[in-house]
Amino acid sequence: MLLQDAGSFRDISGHVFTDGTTVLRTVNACYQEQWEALEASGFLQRMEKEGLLVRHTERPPLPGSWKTLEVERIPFISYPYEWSFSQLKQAALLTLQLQKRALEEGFILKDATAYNVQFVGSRPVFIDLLSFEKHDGKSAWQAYGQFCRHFVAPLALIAKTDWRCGLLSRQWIDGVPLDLACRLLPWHARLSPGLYLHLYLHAGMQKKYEDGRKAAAKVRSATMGRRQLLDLADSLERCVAGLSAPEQNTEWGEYYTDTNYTPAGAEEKSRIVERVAAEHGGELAVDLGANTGVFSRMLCGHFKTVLAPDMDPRAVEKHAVSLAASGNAAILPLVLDLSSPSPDSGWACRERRSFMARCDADMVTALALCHHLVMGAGIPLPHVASFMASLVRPGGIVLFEFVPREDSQVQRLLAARDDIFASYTLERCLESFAEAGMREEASFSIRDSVRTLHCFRKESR
Amino acid sequence: MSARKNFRLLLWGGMAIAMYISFFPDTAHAGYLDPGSGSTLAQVIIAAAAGIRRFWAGLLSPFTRFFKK
Repeated sequence: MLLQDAGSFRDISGHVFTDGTTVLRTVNACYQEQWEALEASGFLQRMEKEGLLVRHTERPPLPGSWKTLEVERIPFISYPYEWSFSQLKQAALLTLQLQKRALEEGFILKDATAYNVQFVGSRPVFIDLLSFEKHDGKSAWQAYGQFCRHFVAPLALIAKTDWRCGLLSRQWIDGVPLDLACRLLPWHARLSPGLYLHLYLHAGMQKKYEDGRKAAAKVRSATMGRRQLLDLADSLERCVAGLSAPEQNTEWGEYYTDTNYTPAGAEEKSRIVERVAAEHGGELAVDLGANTGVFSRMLCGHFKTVLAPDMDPRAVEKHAVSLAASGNAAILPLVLDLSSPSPDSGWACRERRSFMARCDADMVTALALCHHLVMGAGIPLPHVASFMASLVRPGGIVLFEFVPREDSQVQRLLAARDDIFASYTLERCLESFAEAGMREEASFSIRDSVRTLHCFRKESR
Repeated sequence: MSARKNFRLLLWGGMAIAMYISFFPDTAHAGYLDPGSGSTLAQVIIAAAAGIRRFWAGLLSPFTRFFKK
């Protein structure tokens, strides 16, 4: 059954409908003139051919719409606050590239929200076909403020202040307020000409002209020709391209140099993961706590899409950069803290969906993760099991590594705290998965290790 | 005596509140603030600056190309 996407209501030009497999975009009569101009120019087709824009084909119009398009389905919808620095930067540069190309052909982007970009593996693609309109040759870029809030402010904050500032976009879904960004940035950020202009001067002008009545006359007389808009886009491009990921170390950035597997144990674990993945291949796999994606790469041969979430933004950044370099189109690294995953948010808490609501995986792996969730984040085993079960479809698989109390890494976790985890046992773990509707299908021990791997299948409804 | 004291307290209190309201802007109108006007005017300035940069870069490009060789 076709349902309107809960996040598609702001733009009156058209809306998105989906039944889970097909994605339709309606075009309303008010956008007819713009659409016909775009069609006649061949601009959209060229952008699609170059892979910058999502592909579309025409379908019989849905009731109430002027035109209906079927658009390419994105394997997993992710949000800007789940992207690493380089992913957000790629999305910003794609938006600017499209703005420049549109300007050259007499069009302009009417909005510049980061939610208009999605990732197919490491490749960013612009998904909003109705974001373009004819430029009258004199109007300013209405989406300039939005571009700075969605891209320049969070990128600058991550680059100059802290990796974790990317999560500010989770609170401000229409972008980080510029005055807040200016207050959080270190003093030396204003020495960068791009940041000074697009953040500090911009925020200052917003403050100065915050009363629309006083600014109305000036705003009406402000004109921006195509050349000025291209200059503005060039300036933004230089500013964004000049920002680089911070060198700051994080907790998990060097995880794989700090494990307790022997080479033989690590090899055997890899073999088991590969075998289970091969036996249960499908559309979507999720490698929870993927770090830099060692195991995600093993899954990607057997699944069309592999999500590789990790709470550590530096590890995710490393992973995203390596995938972009290799052009991997299957793995999507995401910044996600499992103890507080992306929630439902936005208007009526329905505009942006929670990670769990978007995830209907064929297989979930949770390798060397359970002790961190239980002892690090204080999540009891039954909660961990029901969370894992909520991520897989009925009939799907969870490959779970149990790290017992005797393991040296668990001893490290317990070294400086009271051991209040009496129920942290393999028996309780298996019971918890059974209570969550997951049946154990196989278990494997790992050579030279006290750890065990367990394969659970979610009962079909 | 205590009534006069209370009256004085009320008077000073009232004056303090009046001064506060006149010196600090009322934030109740925050819903009518328009960040869009500032963004429009800022981009005009920034585009002009970027245009000047482009002009100079174009003027100097033969020299920079020459020295890069």
